Amino acid sequence: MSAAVRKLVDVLDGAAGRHISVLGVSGTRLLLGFVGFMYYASQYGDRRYLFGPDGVLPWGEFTSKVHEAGTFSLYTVSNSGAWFEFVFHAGMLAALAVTLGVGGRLGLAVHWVFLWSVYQRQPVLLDGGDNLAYLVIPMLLLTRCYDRFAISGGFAKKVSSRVPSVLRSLSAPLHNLGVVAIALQICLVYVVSGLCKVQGKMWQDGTALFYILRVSEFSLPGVSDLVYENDLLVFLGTYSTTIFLVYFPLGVLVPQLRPWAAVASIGFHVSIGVLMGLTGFALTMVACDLIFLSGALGVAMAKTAPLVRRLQSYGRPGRGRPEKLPGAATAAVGKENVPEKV
Amino acid sequence: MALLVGAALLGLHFIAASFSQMPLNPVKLRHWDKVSGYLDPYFTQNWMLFAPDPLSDNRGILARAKCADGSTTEYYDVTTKYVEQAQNSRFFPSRMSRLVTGNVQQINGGDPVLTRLREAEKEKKKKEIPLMPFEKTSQEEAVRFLSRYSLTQMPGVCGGKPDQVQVRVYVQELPPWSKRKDPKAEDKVSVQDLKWLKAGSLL
Repeated sequence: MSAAVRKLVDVLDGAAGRHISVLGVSGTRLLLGFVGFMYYASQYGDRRYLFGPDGVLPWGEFTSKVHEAGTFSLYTVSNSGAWFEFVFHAGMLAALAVTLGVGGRLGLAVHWVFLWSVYQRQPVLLDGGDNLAYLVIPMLLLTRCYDRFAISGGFAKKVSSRVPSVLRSLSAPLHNLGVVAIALQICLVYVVSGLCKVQGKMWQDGTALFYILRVSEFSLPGVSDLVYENDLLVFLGTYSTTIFLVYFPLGVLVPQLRPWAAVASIGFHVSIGVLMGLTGFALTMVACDLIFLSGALGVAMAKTAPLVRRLQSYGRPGRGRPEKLPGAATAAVGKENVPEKV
Repeated sequence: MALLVGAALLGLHFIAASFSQMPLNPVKLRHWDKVSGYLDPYFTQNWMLFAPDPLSDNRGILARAKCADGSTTEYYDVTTKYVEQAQNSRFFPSRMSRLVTGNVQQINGGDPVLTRLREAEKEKKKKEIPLMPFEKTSQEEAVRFLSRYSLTQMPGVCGGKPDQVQVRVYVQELPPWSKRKDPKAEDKVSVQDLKWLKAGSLL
């Protein structure tokens, strides 16, 4: 067997046997669940007006639009107020369960169904963040995104121990494909939005930021003006946005650059969240960036673990955690730090 | 084996997704139906995000009503309240303002192919291409939505029993970059009045 073929087989074996970025996708799942929950929570007071049967988009018109689009929404089932309240609150609970890590991947699928339903109920409210969320959740279903940051359920373990070994051997390939899918998706998002910007006159002129930050729907009075009145900041912000977006995949392909690309992206989106008031959009992007930060997240958790343990034992004297845990935690981190093929 | 099959499927999926995000070109025009047939509705995506031309003006609506006695009311500002609400929160702000901006966009915005065609015809000084049936429906939907929304935002108008409602769409262009330090620079405001609609037909 030639060396090249052997190398290829090794790579394939590795990809079929080892789960990559488990910590990262678990973080993605948690944060996407939280953003979904906040979609319901932030509009809780206006829910009847926005989504209810007697709201601003009448139930009949909404139902025919859904059928026309060839899709579904749980809100089409009945025009009674009780059904609406039930679906809305059940959706909210499903999102909370995803955040807390209860219910496993079945729960995540249920959350997607409710989320899609509420998105269809009033599509004009949606932005790129919601678009990314409904694309990425099905990809997350392939991954072991409940392995970390989750309230572990004994039930899930019981089920998984009864899964036949043939199916279980598919776990790693499916997981890894799911992670790669999310990585490709986020790269597509950034590159397309970067290349579209390159074509725009205001982006070329280095003044796009000036124009966007003045639009009242996307401005933060008292802060946005500090940015758009500063010529240098406008220029730097506009050009660095485009360059960052276009070159993001390159940053992800080079393992040494990967965490930096992800951190830059998180910084970029946090500033969008603050300056433009697009919290949901910003956090959805950050959630997807987390898959590139599995190693760094592991290191951060290992560093804070002793502190957390001390705090816990401080709160409950005499009930300190068993000494086994630190070893397990560092072992897990070690695994996460192996350079990943994403 | 499973890995290879999965990777191949994933590759095909992302080829379709990337295809849908290309700029308008001959290949896209020819195969668009097939690709969107696969992607829509669950994989539909749009990553233009503030590009190529970002939003640079304030758009909103005013509304007035005609009462049963034939009198016409003043214009009500039914936009600013929710824009301010959005400005006042940085933690998952209310999205109510998008009810207006999203539908205003739906009135003006449209199909990329038709937009290009109309621009070309305009340059040749030919007669403007009339609205396609699907454009008309989408516009009418947006107009009805904005009118209905306006009615809900002025509950006390005409003693609570307005007969008709009219929406005025405004575009407020802010001074351009070149005039950012000119104290005399003013906003340019243009308005478009939509047709009167019977209040009873909206609910």
